[in-house]
Amino acid sequence: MAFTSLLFGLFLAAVFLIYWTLPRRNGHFQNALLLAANVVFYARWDWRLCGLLAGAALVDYIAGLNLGPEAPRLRRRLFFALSLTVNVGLLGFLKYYNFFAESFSDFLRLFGLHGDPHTLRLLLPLGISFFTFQRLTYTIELFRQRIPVTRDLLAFLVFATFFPVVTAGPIERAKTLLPQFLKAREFNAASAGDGLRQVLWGLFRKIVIADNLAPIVAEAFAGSARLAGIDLAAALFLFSMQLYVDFAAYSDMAMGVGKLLGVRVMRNFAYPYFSRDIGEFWRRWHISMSSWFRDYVYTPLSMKVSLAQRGRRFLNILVTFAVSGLWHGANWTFVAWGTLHGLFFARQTFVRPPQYDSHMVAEGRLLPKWRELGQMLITFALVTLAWAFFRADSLPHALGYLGAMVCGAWLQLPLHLLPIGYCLALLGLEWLRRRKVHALQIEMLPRVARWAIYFGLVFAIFVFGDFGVNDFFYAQF
Amino acid sequence: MKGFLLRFALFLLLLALFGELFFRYAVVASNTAYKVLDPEFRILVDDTSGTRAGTYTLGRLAELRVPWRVNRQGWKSAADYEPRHEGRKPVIALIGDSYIAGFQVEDAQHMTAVMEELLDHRWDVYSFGQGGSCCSQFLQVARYVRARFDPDVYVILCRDSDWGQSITQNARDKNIWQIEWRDSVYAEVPPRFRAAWYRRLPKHSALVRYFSYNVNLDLLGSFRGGWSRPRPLIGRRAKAKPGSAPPVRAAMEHVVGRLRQEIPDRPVVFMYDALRDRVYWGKPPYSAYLLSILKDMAAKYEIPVFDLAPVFVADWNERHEKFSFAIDDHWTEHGHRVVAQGLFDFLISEGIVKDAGAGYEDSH
Repeated sequence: MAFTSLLFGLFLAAVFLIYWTLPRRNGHFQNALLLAANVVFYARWDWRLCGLLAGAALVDYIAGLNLGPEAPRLRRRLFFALSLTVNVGLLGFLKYYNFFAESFSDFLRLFGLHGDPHTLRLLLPLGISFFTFQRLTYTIELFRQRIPVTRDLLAFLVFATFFPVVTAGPIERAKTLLPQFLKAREFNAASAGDGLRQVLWGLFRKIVIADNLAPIVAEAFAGSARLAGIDLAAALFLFSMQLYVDFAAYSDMAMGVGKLLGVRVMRNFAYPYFSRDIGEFWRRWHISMSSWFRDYVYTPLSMKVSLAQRGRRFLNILVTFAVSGLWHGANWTFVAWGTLHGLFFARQTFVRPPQYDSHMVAEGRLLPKWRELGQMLITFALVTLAWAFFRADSLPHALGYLGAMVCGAWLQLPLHLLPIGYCLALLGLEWLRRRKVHALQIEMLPRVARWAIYFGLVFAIFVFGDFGVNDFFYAQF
Repeated sequence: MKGFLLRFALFLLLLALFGELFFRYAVVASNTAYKVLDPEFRILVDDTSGTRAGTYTLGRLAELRVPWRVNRQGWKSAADYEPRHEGRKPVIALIGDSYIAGFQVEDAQHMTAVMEELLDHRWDVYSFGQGGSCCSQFLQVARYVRARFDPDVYVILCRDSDWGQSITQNARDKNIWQIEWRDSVYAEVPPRFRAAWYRRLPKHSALVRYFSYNVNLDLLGSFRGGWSRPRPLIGRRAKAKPGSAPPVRAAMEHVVGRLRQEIPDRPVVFMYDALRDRVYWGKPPYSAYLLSILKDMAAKYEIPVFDLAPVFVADWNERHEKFSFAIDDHWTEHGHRVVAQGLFDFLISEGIVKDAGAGYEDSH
């Protein structure tokens, strides 16, 4: 059930109305309804895999009961290992088995050995990378004794399958999401109103902008040999925008739906294309994933590494990014993309440490300084170049695309000026609204103006929206 | 909570009102005629009891706006159709689906008008087109046409998908006359369409019509024959389920054989449509398998088949002007002209129309 479908709108309306009319006592009724909604939402995609989702969640619940501080050390280790094995094993088998089998076979062929890969026809559960990582935060944090054990099975199952985030994140933390299901949620009109606005903004960006960019990008990547260099560069820019708008729109909608249900969902994007260096970019892009890898991969790897051991730190960064690339998909293109991002950190690691805190660029000013503008453009250009690997079908495809882009003709106007124009307009709007969580936080405006803007967005969706079956880009991961 | 819901309801209400006005007067939502079932022949015709005119629009911004009229007999045409009588011009009847209805072009550019011009206005060309029709329905329409108007020539437009769509086992469509494979023969199944007032209600809304016709969301799906579009079990899907698909050859034999049997004294022509996009790409524009069966069957019953593909290909190679809209697959004015010219040439070459001024009986 895609967030952009009419069916989801009806489903959400029904869940919302029933949810807030249920008795609030302890939140059990609310949780029961949410669990039913989660099952319906996931089953609509493939009901057979609901069992897998529930089974893996039950393993984590049982493991969690044995990870409390009072449990013997050996038992804690055993159950933690069980949780890791089940989660990582399922993810690894379903998502990466064929990839590694084929890669191993290719590797053997390099030495003239025949190794026909024994591949399997596996059905990859929707959102497996997201919900696996989300549940892992529970057992890892329990093992680290940073959160208490949850004995409320219903609340835990709702946490493990919460429908706004189950298919494409944000990858929520047990520490922040789970406690919200342990008590009754109270209706807050201001928050629900903001949730609706965020859903509308997400819908607009997905249906009107991202989905209309998708065919242009697909055409360019399918026939890169036929296009001029400037058109390929333009298409890469448009892909950069498509990916950002698509995923940020999903995250906006997930947050908005969460607000409608009285549940805080973490922010996943904070205007990443206004970043001044790659470190800042990763603090603003797919925040839930980048912070997950920081907390659960990079930090453990770097625990015994001093600040002076720059080479070791850089290696850890490379490993973390390569793994995060692989997390996206079972293809060497994603590994290359992740490694490339790791390499972008070389300057920060060896030459100049990060200069910026989490404050937004040009804080308190309308325009950035020239230096900031240059830094933002360089960061954006690096990130955009790396997206070529993210979008391409294979490494030769990505290199071919970049080669054709560099060597092709540049002294002409690009074919798709209009989409470039509206992407720049969107970036301009986001620049003006960069201090807000989303651009539609306009509660200071008079109601007439606000409603006129909402009407405008709704009608833009009606008239310019693409209502084809366009899944969110990140749902494939 | 109550205040929030009230505000949201008010927002939706105002949005709907604004939408109604916007899609009624600014970006005009498409409008088509209501359908009713002919009580005697049980085929869909346009309703003539109310207004018989409107504007068909195409595209999200209603880029194409075409006025349409429905004649007193319930077909999209400016002119009324006359039953056979002394002094009536000879008539060519075009039977088909939305392509023959041709809502996308004005009456003067429709292939009927072009053909009448080519025939020096000594023939009348009547079109009997209803969107979503298929071959089994054309058979029943041909019976209706014969009984009501007794034309001199029958031209039936069909394409690959029309055969699979005809068979109930593939997908039951309650709006059309279909055939069903029972005990190794095909039996005809009349439609169950009912023109109840409440089915028409949504079409009063410009907003609903906009989404249904301009955006092509299937909001009116339940009113047009089911929420899911029929997916004929032919070609690869049939091969994937061997033995499950009723034989398409027997379906063709049923339709073609009945046509010949019931209209033995008038020329009948099958006009086989081609997929325009594949013509532009230089690829085979239809299933050669289905066309070859139809040709076999037609030869058996002495019915000529006019293949539109060579006509489209020749014109495309010469002019490079598309026959269909960029946002819709139906024929443009150019498409109607090319089809009309091709059909005219075919009818002349086959000797069906020997003298553009004489009817069938006079010219044979």
